[in-house]
Amino acid sequence: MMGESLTVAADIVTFRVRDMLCGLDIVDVQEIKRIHQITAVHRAPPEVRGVVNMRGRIVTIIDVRQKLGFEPAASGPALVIIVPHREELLGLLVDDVDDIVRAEPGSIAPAPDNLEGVERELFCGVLKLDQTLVAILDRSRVVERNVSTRPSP
Amino acid sequence: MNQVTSRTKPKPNGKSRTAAASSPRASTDVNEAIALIKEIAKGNLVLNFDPDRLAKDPLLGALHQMVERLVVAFGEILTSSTLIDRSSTTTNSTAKALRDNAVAMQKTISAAVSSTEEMRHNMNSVSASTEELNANMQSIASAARQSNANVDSVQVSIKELTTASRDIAENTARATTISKKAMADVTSALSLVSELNDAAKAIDAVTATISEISDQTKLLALNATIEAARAGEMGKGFAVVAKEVKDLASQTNAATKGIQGKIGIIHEVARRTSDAIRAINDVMKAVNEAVTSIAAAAEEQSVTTDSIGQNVVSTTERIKEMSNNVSEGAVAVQDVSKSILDVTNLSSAVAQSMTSLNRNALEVKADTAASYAQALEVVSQGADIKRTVAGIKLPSHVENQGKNATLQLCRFTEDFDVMSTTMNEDHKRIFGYINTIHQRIKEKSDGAGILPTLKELGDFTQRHFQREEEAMLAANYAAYPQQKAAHTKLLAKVAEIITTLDGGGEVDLLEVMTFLKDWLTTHILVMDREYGPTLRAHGID
Repeated sequence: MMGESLTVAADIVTFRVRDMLCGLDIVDVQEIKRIHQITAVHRAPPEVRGVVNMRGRIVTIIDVRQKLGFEPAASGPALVIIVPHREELLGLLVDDVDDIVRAEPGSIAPAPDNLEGVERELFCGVLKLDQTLVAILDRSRVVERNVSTRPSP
Repeated sequence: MNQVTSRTKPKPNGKSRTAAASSPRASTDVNEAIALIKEIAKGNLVLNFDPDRLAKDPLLGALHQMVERLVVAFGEILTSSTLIDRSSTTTNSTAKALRDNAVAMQKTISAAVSSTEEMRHNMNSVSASTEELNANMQSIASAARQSNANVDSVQVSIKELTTASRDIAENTARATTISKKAMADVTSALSLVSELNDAAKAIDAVTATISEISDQTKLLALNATIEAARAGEMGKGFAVVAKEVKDLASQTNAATKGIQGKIGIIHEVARRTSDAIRAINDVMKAVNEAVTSIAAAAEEQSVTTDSIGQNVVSTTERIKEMSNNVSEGAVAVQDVSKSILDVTNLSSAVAQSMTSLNRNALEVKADTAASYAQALEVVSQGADIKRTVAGIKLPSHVENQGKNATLQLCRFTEDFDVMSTTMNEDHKRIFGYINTIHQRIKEKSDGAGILPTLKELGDFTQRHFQREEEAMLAANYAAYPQQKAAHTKLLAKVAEIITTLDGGGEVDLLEVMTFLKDWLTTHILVMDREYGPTLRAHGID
């Protein structure tokens, strides 16, 4: 959606995966939820931690750490960014939610090739802030089942 | 000689004697004379002569005179031989006793000499020993003085040590009190720190809650913002509120984090303080233990030092006492040493004297042996004379007089006749005094014993000399001055002896006797006899 250039101002939800500051367009986020218990799903891919029941709706929890090629996140209570995808809800398991920042038009640059050694295709750009950089995740690619750090079967 | 019969036993040739005596004749028969001479030759001097015939018969008269002279001479000889016999017997026993005494004395002296020699030898070794003892005493005395000084300084040191150990005891006692208080303080500080830690923990819990609340608030604010964004234009005002809530939560979170940091620091500081206090506590415990043991040691040391001090004091007194005793002893030994040296010198002198005394004694022994031998000879001679005289028949009165003669130093004989009855009588009396003095000396009287007689002799002699001098002056005697000088000299000598004896002094009695005898022999026999004819010529008797 944001692609190569941002023509209008946008709000970016920033969060941390390990020590990496990442971001998602606020329009891609339904809510942020603190999850206390995740139910594991048999034969699910490794990045899928399990499912939770959220107000009657089943939410699949994806471990962003594993999605990005890092070691798995610790078990226990976790912060999850709820993202609608087609007709279902997905939960992106992150280490911490940081803030919601305003991205002015032209402030987002294309993702550089050597971006932390992670899958470059999972990012759609980099937001430059005063002190730091925010790697903007591409929601659709993150949630697409075939878009994974692992080679496809 | 008027008696007709002899008082001795009758002689075989009594006939001739009877004939001569019974038949008076005008002239002597030659045969009668021969018979008389024969009697005389036999030694019979008891012959009767008829006085009537003596005047008429010159031969008989001559024989009579010869017999008379012989009687006198033999009477003298008999007297002398009797005296010699008596005297020589006495002399003999005296000489024998003298010799025995001399032998015994020499033996005694000889023993005394060897004893003295031994004593001298012993005294020398005693002297050497004493010298050594003296040196030892001196060195002991100086050692005692040294130890005295040493002990004095030890005593001072001990006193200082005692004071020091008392100070230590007091200081350690104070240190014990202080360290105990410090330990109590440390314990209370520890509990305070613990309380502080607890309080910090409580704050921690509160801040954790606040942190959680601020997290949730932040989450709510974020969701509200997301919700507002989804509401589009409708949610714009809501988004502003949500942002402020989110900022508030953010600030709360930051403040809480600050508090947590501070609390962490408090925890850390409290932990370190606690550790430090524990370390201090440990140190204080060690200090307390050390101080306690120091206190005990100091107390013990103080007691020990006190006892050492007392011992040193008593030792000091003993050493001082000993030192004094040794000093006194040294002085005494020095005195003794000096005395012994004196005695040694004296004993050397005594030994020398004894040796020469022994030599004298040996001489005396030899002399006494000689005099004993001579006395024996005299006895033998006396016996010979006696035997010879015994063969001579003498008139009984002459014989009796001779046999009963008294032993005297000097007898007044015809030799001393100065032809003056008065002077002869005076001289006889002087003889008497001198014999008395001699007798006293023979009886072993001392000077005091002869003093009264000597004084009488002096007084009488003075009067006698006066009489002599008056007579000589009256007769105008030429040698008067010599006589006067001799008299003065003699009287002076007698006076000197008397003065010495009166003053309790000693005189040589042998010398006195020699002087008195010489007086008789030289003065009367020589000088006085010369004035006889002059005095008689002037009719002085």
